[in-house]
Amino acid sequence: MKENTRNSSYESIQHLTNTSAKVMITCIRSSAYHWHYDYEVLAVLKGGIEVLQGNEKQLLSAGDLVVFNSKSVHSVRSSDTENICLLIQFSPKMLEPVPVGMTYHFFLNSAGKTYMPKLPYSYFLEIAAKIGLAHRSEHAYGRLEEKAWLYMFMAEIMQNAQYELRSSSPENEENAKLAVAISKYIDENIISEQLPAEIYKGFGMSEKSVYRLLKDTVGLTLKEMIDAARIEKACTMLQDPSIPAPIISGECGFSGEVTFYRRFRHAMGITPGEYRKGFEGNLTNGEIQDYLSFNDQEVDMLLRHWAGLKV
Amino acid sequence: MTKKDRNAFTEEAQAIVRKMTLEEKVTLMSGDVSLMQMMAAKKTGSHYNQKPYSAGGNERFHVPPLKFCDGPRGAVCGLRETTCFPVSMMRGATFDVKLEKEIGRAIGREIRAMDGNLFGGVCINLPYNPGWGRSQETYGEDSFAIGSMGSALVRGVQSESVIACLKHFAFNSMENNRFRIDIDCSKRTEREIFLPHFKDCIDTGAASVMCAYNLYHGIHCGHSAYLLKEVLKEEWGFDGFVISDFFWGIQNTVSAAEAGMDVEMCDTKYYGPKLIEAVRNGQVSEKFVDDAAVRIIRTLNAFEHQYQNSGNQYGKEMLGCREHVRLSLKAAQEGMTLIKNKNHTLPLSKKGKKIAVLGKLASRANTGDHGSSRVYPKYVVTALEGIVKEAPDSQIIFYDGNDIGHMKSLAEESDAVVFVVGLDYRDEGEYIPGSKFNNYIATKGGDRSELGLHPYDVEMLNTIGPLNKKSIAVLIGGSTITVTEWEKNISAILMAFYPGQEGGTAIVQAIFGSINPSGKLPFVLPKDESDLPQVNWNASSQHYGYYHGYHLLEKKKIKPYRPYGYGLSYTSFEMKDAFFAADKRFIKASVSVRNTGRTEGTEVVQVYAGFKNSKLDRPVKTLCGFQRVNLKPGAEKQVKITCPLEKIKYYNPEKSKFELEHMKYEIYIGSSGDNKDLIKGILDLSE
Repeated sequence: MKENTRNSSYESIQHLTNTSAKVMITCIRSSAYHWHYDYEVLAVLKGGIEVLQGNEKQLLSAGDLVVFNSKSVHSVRSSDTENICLLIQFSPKMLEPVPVGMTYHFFLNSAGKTYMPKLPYSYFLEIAAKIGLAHRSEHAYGRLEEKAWLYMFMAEIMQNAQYELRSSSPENEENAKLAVAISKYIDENIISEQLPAEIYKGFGMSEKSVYRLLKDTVGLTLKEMIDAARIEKACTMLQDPSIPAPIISGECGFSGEVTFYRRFRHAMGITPGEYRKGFEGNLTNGEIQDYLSFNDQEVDMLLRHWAGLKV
Repeated sequence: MTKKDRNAFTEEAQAIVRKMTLEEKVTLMSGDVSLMQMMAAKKTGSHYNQKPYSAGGNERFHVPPLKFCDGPRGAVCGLRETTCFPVSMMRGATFDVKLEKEIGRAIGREIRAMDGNLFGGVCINLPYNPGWGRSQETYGEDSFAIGSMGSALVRGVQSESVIACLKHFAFNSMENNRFRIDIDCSKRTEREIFLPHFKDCIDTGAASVMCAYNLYHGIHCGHSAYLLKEVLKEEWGFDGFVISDFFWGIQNTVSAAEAGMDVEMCDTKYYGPKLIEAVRNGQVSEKFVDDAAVRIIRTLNAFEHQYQNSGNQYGKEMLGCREHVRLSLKAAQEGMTLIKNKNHTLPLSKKGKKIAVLGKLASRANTGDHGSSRVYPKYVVTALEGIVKEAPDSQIIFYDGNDIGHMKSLAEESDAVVFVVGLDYRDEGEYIPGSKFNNYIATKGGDRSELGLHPYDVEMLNTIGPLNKKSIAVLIGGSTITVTEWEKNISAILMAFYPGQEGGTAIVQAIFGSINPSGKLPFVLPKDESDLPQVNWNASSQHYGYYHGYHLLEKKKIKPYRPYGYGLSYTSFEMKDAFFAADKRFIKASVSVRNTGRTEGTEVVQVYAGFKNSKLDRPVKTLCGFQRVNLKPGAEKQVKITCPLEKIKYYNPEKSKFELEHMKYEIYIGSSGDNKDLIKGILDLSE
């Protein structure tokens, strides 16, 4: 999840010809609301992250695993600067044959726990970790192993997690695109204090239809979405110790410093100052890094641990 | 192609037979495909009957071989080529003889295109108990209806120069023990209940008959001189040929040959060299062989001549063509039978609704049995695909798991819930026991020992049904499925049978009202399966009583859940001005039918004859005529139905013939087998 997802909310995922999916091991800082055609498996190997799907906020910690469905709008941000996550993205095409006009919607979220799978979550995590290990393998067979475990993972979620087949009406897809466009507009114009009015006008929609659209797709009200975006932007800026807090407050569209502090503490549980302090220890060269450095050995150890192998 | 047309070829056939050697004649009578060959073909990936199975033929005298294609839900030959129609039971629910003839023509064309010339799919056995695993292959429980629909199929198939083969002659209404079961019934039961539909189809001109595996009165049907020679060939004047059911239909050379079994199918075990030897050493008179040879040559030459003269040369373009698929869809549309529709739950609105689809069968290509009747079409539209296609503006959510909590949430948050429940090839169909020999691990098909749904479906309907007012159960299956244990919790029930390759389309069209259901139950739907005659599916002998189905329930004064001939419509009909009359040959009934609702619709007008004044043991009433009538809203039509007087006669075993009871008959005309849906009249046939 690169920093630039903040600018293009739709992640286009390129599949290399010799791999069946995109596998990444990364530290997640934050990503705005976005969606993609690919399914995304997110496993927390270390630390914690916060996932926003609809109006549900969930805290995922080491050992948690979640599957984001194709075209489902979601956002992720760090709740622990030390987090290491495994991300696996695979195309809906890989699940074919799928009944015409329908898509699989999986229920697999060890932090949410709606519609429990038939097998323990750790079982799915083991396979996901094996995908990660195979991905990092230097051996020629690693590519094959990666594919094999990936297919195994897909088979297992189909067999042992719950799913629905949902019709993907063109209207739904249009709505998701529109919601993402609104989210993008918010990010790009976060400095404005008049965002709702600008959005109604800019998108030619009434307050009521924006409300209905966002409730249906993202599960949030416009105000909640804007607030979340302001906090997120603030988090990013706070990570640069050279930016003074009043500037951040203004850049993020808060009406004043007092509001900024209050809202930030309400959302994050800590003050902006405390948040900033937490980051200082991790910085090298005084530069903002999207991926905090982590060492390869640690990643292998974590993957082996969650794969149930000897560390 | 009638018997009369074929008689023109008798002399030619006799002349050929006179010139033939014994070997040549016996070759005509012997199948070409051994069980080993069939199994070997299966191992290379071909399915049963992928190519027509041939038998006989003679190059010297230009007699074509017989080329067998199985059915009845289409031509079994080919892979992803031929059209898969709804099963016969659903076609029975259409009560549409014109459509059945058209389906016969389509099947005939496809068989010719596959290079076949004999359709082994006119299955007209009467299910004594609907648990019979192959009930789906026949048209219902009523002999008159089976005879009418079977005759229509025969006419259609044979009009395309393909020989129609009736099966399984006779009393084949049990599957698991079909090779061993010994059937017993009274003479009147035999003649009035189990044979009349065979005679109807013979009278129509069916040119071939396949014997049953089972025994009748201790004798294998394939060895039964009584059934094959006495009844079929002599009494009914059948001019065609009899073939054995495959591999186990004949178990003795002499018994079969002397009984009038003309062709051993589909391999040669007891005919071929053994029959030649039996003739040579005097065990079998050559006249039996000559008679069989004449029948075979006459029939094949007559049909070949008709095909050559028709100018048709059907090729692959016929297979699964648009016109045939359209017929398949039409049959599914007409056969959809609405048996409950509380508070006008159906049709559903298509607009912007959230619809939950539950039940594993919704996403299965489920066209019925996986035995000898399995057809392999290019595609099958499942109920789920149908609903997505038909209602693009609705949000469809399908869940096929077992989590009751998950289903509850879906039912609560949806505008309607469609349950697709019922049976598939594992539950009923041709019985294929699991064995190392045939490489099947699990047993497939067979008879149903219980007539209800699977316990998991019952639990789902009872738990989830009450959570949504618009709860709809779509029933999939080949015959009677009892609904009493769950129907109170469901608002609408649509019997969809096995609706063929376009089945999903028709199911959903009925649900959304793009078509108006017009199917009628071709069987009685009892409240309890114990209301029906009891059968021990694994017994070695079974008695078939005089009463079964609606005859039995009516006689015992048991109110069914739904009567024979029952089916709802989205419109309403009014019948009045009934008129009944009879002459020396026919009963005539007429009624004026008016569509009093707001939707175009079709009613199946039914005529029953009642025997209250009979001095004999006879049914309360029996079906003796039916006709579909389509009416626009407000439109009115007079429907006239005639029925041969023969159909109300009884069989006098002492005189060995059918006789008319001279008395007053009740006569009914209306929309179902329930007296409250019928207008009653009296027909005085006293002397």
